[in-house]
Amino acid sequence: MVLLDIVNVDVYIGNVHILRKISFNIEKGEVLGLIGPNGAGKTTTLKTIIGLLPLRAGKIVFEGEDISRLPARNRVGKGITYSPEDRRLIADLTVEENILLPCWVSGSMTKSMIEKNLEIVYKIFPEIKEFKDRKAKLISGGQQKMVSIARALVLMPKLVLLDEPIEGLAPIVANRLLRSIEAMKLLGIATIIAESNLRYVKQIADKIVRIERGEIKEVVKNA
Amino acid sequence: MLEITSLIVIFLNTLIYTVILALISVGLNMILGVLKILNLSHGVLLAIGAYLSVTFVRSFLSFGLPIYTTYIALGLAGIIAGIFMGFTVEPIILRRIYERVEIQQLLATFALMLILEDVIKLIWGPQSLVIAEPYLYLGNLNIGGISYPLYYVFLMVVGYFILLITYIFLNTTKIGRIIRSTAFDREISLALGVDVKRVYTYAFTIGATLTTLGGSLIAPTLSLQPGFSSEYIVLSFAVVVVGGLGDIKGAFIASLVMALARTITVMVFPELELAIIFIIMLLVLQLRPEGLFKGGR
Amino acid sequence: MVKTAYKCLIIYACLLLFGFFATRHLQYLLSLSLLYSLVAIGLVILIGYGGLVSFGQGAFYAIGAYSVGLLLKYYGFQNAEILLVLGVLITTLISFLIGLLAARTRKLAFAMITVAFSMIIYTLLVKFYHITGGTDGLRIPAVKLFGILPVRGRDLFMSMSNEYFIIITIFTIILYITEHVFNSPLSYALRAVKDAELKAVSLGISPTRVYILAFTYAGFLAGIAGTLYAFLNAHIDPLIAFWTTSGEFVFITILGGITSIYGVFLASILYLFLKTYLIVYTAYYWQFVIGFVILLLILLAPKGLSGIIFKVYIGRKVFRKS
Repeated sequence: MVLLDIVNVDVYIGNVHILRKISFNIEKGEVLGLIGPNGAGKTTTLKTIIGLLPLRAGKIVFEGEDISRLPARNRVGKGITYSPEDRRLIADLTVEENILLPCWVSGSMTKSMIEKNLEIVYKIFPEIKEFKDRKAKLISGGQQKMVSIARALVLMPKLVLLDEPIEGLAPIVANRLLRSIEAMKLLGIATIIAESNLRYVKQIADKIVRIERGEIKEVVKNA
Repeated sequence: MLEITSLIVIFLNTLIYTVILALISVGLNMILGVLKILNLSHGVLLAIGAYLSVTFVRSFLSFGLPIYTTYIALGLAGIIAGIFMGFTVEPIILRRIYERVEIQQLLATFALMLILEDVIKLIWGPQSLVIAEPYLYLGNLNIGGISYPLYYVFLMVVGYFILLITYIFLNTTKIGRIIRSTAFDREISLALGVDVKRVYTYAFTIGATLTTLGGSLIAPTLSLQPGFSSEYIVLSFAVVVVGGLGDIKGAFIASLVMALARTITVMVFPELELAIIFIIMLLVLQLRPEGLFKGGR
Repeated sequence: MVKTAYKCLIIYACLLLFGFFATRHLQYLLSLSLLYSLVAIGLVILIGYGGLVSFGQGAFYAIGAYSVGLLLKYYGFQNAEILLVLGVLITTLISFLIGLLAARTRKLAFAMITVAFSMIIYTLLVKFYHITGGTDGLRIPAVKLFGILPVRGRDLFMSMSNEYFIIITIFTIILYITEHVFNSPLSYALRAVKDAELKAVSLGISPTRVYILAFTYAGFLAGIAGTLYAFLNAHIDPLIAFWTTSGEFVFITILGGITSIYGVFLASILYLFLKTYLIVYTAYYWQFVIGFVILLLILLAPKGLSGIIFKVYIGRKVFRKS
């Protein structure tokens, strides 16, 4: 069952044509690796899916609904979350506050739901518990990366967009993240991982989409 | 020459000036920090709060209500003025210029100031207005031989209380943290599901209300005339520049510094009262061009 | 260089012609427009080429005017040219000093500082009323230029008033000089800094120095305008330092297209005639109307409009006629 369908999408930043008629889809519970060199358009693609960038042409369909014009906050409400490549935590809030922020924003989560989700997230990244009360600006880059991903997972969304999640993570943590993404598959959570190389992604990806200079070069099923 | 009582008066006057400046500057900084717009019409908000208080207080009194209710009138006026301005100015005007270049934004808020100032003149007329009742009713305190109006104490207590609530709100409530998150990183806040449009409206309203409340509080102490707020707006600009653009606690500390400088200057060389603020501002900027604190910008 | 001279001569000829046939009142209005244009030209350099929005040029305008007034009052100079030179010198010096202190700040802080400065000058003028006459202002008697021509009067050919002639002459000279400034290394340096500060630094251009120069020149122009204003108007008062006057200058600059001298000239004529008309018809509330007009213009002009109004990014192009 197709969860997200990107159809012939064109995206411009200013007057520069970044994404050229890109098309691919992802199914429920699928892990998709978006692979391409720096500047290929991976971040632009993810930002367009979450709604931070408008599309000039084409459409994005999520669960059968055309969300091309839907504002970002509604897309989060529909179950899409995003973890940016440069972490982007709120410096003056504590780590735990950063992770909980999407829950507070959502407004439709009960206290017990929030606690439950937080527990799950802490199971994936037990290291975070050690510094959960520290201000986000006082932790290392790798730790920030973990927190950024945790923040994207805390809502237990239908689709998680991870922009270069592996970089900056210690190999042990990276492996645990990959296992967790596999576990999330069982819960029906789909993931798009944007990376510049296949190395880690090929362990868990169901589908590889290669992007280069704003164009989709190939889409292959992964064994 | 500097007896204890003079020092106490200096101390009290500084505290009063600090709290008024802080209410205006924190308000300005909230708008600057979250919406990233310098609201040149901000001083008029002070005036609107003050003028609306005149109307409310006079109505209360004309209905035969006892004088102690006029304090409620002041509070109500300040809050209603702030909320009204917040929910009209932000959606109708500011929302349309967020994407614009700075100079257009500056000119737009400048034009807004021209409009609002004349609106005040249109509604309340160009003559001076006075509501002394709340001020006189509380009488005076005797501090070592000096007669000090109790209303000033009331003003301080209420003013600092408002600032305290604002601080608590921003630092402990969920909405407060969402506002801070939006101020810090608008784009990622969007991606986290924040309704940034509504946050902007709330932030502007809070900033506006702080200032209109400041206006309400000082209304009974002055004779209100059109344009009386321009002195305060200049001071609050200086405070914001010194304290750091968008930094709320910086605004408070800078208010204290400026108020202290002003109080002392007034006693020693009254004509330089505003000039000293400017001098301090330029001095601070030489050492730290971004202001004393980093802040949201 | 020669082309510039021709342009200026033609303008001068037109202005002269106007002066021979227009009424004294119209000449006054045009004179005032020219003065406003001078200040706005300074802003064209600051905003259009430097990206620095100054809401404080009114302060320098006032300093220029009050220098003349106070020098007259306390030293009794009867020579207009000395007053002119001194007034401009004082203003330029002060603007240089302020520029030194303000040039290191970022855009919004800069705007706020200039507002503060404008208002400080205003309050100083008001509070030291023993010296400046406070809100009543100062009277400026008609002194003589080079000992022969009174700065106000009708001693010239046909119906051209003295003040008009003096102003258009000085204006044209300054116009000529400024055109050279525009095509000088300074303006390129300014634009380089505005577009890409880091790159400019690597080219050996010091942004701060460039900003100080630009700010001083803008102050110089405002000073000339202010001193001439003292001669034009028999009376000066502190209101010219109020930051709303500075706002008027900014508005004129934008209306004129930010980067075009001639646009600014037309805009100031337009604005002043509009304002005079408005004051006559809506005495109390002309600010409301002006504010409304400005707001309407900003809201309705779509972003990035390519037209005369709000062309902010023309900084890249060479200065040209509107």
